[in-house]
Amino acid sequence: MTTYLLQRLMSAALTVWITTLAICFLIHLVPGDPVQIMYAQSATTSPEQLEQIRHSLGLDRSIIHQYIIYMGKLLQGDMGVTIRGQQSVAELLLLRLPNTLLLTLSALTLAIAFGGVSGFIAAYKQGQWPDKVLMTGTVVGISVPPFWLGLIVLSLFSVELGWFPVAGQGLGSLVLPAVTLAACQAAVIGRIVRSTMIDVFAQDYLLTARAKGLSKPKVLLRHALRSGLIPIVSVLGMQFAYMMGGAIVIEYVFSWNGVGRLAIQAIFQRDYPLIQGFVLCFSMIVVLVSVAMDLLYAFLDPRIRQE
Amino acid sequence: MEQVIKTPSLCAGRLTWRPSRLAVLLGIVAALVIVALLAPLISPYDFEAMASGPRLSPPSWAHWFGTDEFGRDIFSRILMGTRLTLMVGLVSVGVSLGFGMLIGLIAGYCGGWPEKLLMRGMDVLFSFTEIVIALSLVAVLGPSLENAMLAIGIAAIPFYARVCYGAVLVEKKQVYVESTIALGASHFRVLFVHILPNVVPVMLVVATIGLSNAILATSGLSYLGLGAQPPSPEWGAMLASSKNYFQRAPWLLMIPGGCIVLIVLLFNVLGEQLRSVLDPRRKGES
Repeated sequence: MTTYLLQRLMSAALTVWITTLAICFLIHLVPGDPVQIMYAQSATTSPEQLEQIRHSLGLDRSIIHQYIIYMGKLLQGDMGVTIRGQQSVAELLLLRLPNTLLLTLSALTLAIAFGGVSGFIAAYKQGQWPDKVLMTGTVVGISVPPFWLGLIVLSLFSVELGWFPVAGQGLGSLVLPAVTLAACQAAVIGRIVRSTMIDVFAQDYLLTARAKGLSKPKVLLRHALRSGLIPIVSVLGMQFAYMMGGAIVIEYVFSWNGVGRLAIQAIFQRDYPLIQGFVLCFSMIVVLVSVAMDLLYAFLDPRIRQE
Repeated sequence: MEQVIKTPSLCAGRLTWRPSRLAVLLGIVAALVIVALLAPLISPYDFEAMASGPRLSPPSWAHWFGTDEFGRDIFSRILMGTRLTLMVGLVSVGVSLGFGMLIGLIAGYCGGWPEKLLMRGMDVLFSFTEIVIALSLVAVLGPSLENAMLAIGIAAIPFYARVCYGAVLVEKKQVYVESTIALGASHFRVLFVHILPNVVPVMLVVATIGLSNAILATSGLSYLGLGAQPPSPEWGAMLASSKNYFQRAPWLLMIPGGCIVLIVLLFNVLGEQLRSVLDPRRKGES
C-alpha cells in the first residue's frame, strides 16, 4: 500500500512538473512575436514600452533562464499578472475556482445518481425494454453537444418560461448549468455502470445469497451494488476531469463566472499569463483528484489494499 | 442493445436477402459524402448570398429550413456545412490516428525505453484532458477552423496511442509473429506487414467513434468562437452567429444543432455496429 501510494504520488508530481515545462514553452509556439500579439489590441503602446513588457515577462532571456525564473515565482505562488488590467493571475483564478468546483461537483453528483440508477436498472432488466430504452437514451445522450443542450435549456426554462434566472451566481442559476453538464456525463456513467453490473449479476455469490434465503432487494442492494460500485469509483477520477473540461463550455453558455469562462475570455484577449495560469491550475486539480480517486479505490478494494 | 446481424451482411444470392444494419449505415454515410461533394451544385441558393429570402423567415417551400438574420438560406448553408463537418472529422481523426498508431505500434513492439518514454508521455498528455490541450493549442495558434481541427486531432493522440499500444501487445504474443521472426523477417516487416493489419480493425472502430467526438469538439470550439469564424457555414459557427435570434427564430437553434446530433449519432451507431461485426466476442454488449 505504501509503495503504491508513493508510486502514485511520484507520477503525479512528474505530471505536474512536465505541465510547468509545457506551459513555460507554450508561449514560444506562438507564430510571430507574442508580445506584439498580446498588445495588438492596444495601439497606443510604444516600442519602448513593448521592450519593457518583454523584459518584465522575461521573454528577452534564454529559454532555460526563463524557466528558472518562472518556477522560482511559481513556487512562491506568483503566477504573474494579467495583460489586461494587471491583476494577479493567482488571485483571479482563486476567486473564480470555487464557482467552477461547485458547478462540477453538483453536476458530477447528479450524473452519478442518474447514470447509476439507470445503469443499474438497465443491467437488471438486460435485454428487456427498460434496458433498450435506457441504452438508446444514452447513445443519444453522448451524441448531443453539451453547449447546444445548454442553449435549448436556457431558452426554454430561463427565457421562455422564466423559471430560472438567465445569468447570475446564485443557487437558482446553478440548476440549469449543473443539469446540462450532468445530462451528457450521466449517459457515459450509465453505460459503464450497466456493463459493470451485468458482470456482477453473473457472479455465483449472488445466487448463494439468494439460496440462503436473503430477500431480493437485500441481495441487490447489499451484495450486488456494493461490489459493483468499486469499478465505478475507478472511473470517477476520469469522469471528474471530463466534467471540468465540459464545464468550460457550459460556463460560457450560462455566463457562469468560473475559471472556464475566464480562460475563454483570456484566449480571446491573447492574455498569455492568464492562459498559462489556467492550464496549470486545471491540470493540477485533475491530477490531484485522480490521485485521490486512485487512493479511494485502493482503500475500497481489499485486494489492492493488502498488496 | 441491438440485434446484431445473424447472417453475413453482404452475401447476396440468399433468397431472403435484406440489408444489414451496417449496410444501411454505410449507405447513409455514402449519401452524406455525395451530398457534401455536390453541395454547391445541389443547394437551391448560394450559401453566402444575403437576402436569398426575407430575413428570419420560418421553414417554407421556398426555404426548407428557413432563413437566418441576414436572409441567407439555411438549407444551403447546412449542405455546405456538411462538407466542412465531414472534413473536420476526417482531418482530426487522420491526425490522431496517424500519430497515435505510429506511437502505439513503436511503443508496443519495441518495448524497453522507447515504450517507457512514449507511453509515459502519453499518460501525461492524457491527464491534461483533451479539451485543455485543444484550448491551449488554439490559444497559441490563433482561432480558425484549420487550427481547431488540428488541435482536436493532436489532443486525441494519447487515446489512440493507448488503444493501439494495447492491441499491439496482444498481437505480439501470437504465434504468427514468432514464426515470422523465425523465418527471418525484419522487424520493420513484422511490425508493418504482419502486426499492423491485425490492429486495423480495432483502430477502425475507435476512429469511427472518434469521428463523432472530433465533430462534437470542433462544433463546441466554433460555438465558443475559437474554431470556424462567421460567416462560415460550419454548424457550430452558425449557432454562434445567430445566438441573439433564437427566441424569434427557434429554427436557427434547432436545425444546425439537430444536424450535429444526427451526424454524431450516425458515427456512434456505426462505430458500435462495426465493433460487433469486427469483434464477435463483444456481441450483445453495447
